[in-house]
Amino acid sequence: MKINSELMKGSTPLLLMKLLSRRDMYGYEMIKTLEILSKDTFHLKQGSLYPILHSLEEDGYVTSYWEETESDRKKKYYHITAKGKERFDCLIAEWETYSKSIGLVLDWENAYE
Amino acid sequence: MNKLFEEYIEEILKESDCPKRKRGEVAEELRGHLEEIQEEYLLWGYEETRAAESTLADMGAIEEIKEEFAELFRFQRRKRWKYIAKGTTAACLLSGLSAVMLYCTEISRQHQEFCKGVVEGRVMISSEQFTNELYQRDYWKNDKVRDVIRAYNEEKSKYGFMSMVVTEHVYITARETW
Repeated sequence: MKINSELMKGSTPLLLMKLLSRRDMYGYEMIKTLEILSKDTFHLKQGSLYPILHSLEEDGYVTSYWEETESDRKKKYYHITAKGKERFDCLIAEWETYSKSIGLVLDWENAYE
Repeated sequence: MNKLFEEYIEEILKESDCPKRKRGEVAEELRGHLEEIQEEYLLWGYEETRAAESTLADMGAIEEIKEEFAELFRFQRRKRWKYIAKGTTAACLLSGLSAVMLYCTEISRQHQEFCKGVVEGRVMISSEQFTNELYQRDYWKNDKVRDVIRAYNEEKSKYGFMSMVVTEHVYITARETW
């Protein structure tokens, strides 16, 4: 099922920070990991990934560094900062409240009838 | 170096406010990403040009990405200007403050020099001016000076002038307090 890109846009920073809270990753790796973890549901518009990552970096939530890889291509890895981890906790709490509330509304029939 | 990819990167960055020193890094990151997608298509057996075209399709509509990058760099630029404006204001305030402090120090130094001159008898001023000086310098807050000034006023109202004893007293008090 294809997810509406607007719906995807709002939650992308949360998903990216989740990935980075596990380990440092580079852009393409994040896209692939999201596809695998979401069982091929989350197909991020790949070009949109970098403006999001750069703005997270601008806000001090992540830092980046270049590293040589086996394929001889240098890759830019992103690393979540302490400030980023705090922000991530806030985003999770926000998301849980949001999804619970959506659930409550969608479950109207069962709750009151 | 793939020509299609280079044109794509150039198109994204050309009208944006991306600072020159960052341009190379952003381009290199995007290039690496594009090449990686293309490699995957090649592994699937795609012919090179088709692989490159599919790669660009995976990136999403170029107009949207251009706008997202442009928005990011606009935001960064505004932030930079805000820092510069803040820095300049702080520098102006600081230099203004130091100028005022220097001015005050100089005025105070000149005044001290003047008072020293009076006490040492190098500068001639009338007794009235002298008492005014004491007032201006807030010495009325000092009990001893207040007594001296009271004595001065009493003598002045009684005799119309200040006796040498009181004058001497004023000088000694001034010397002690200055």
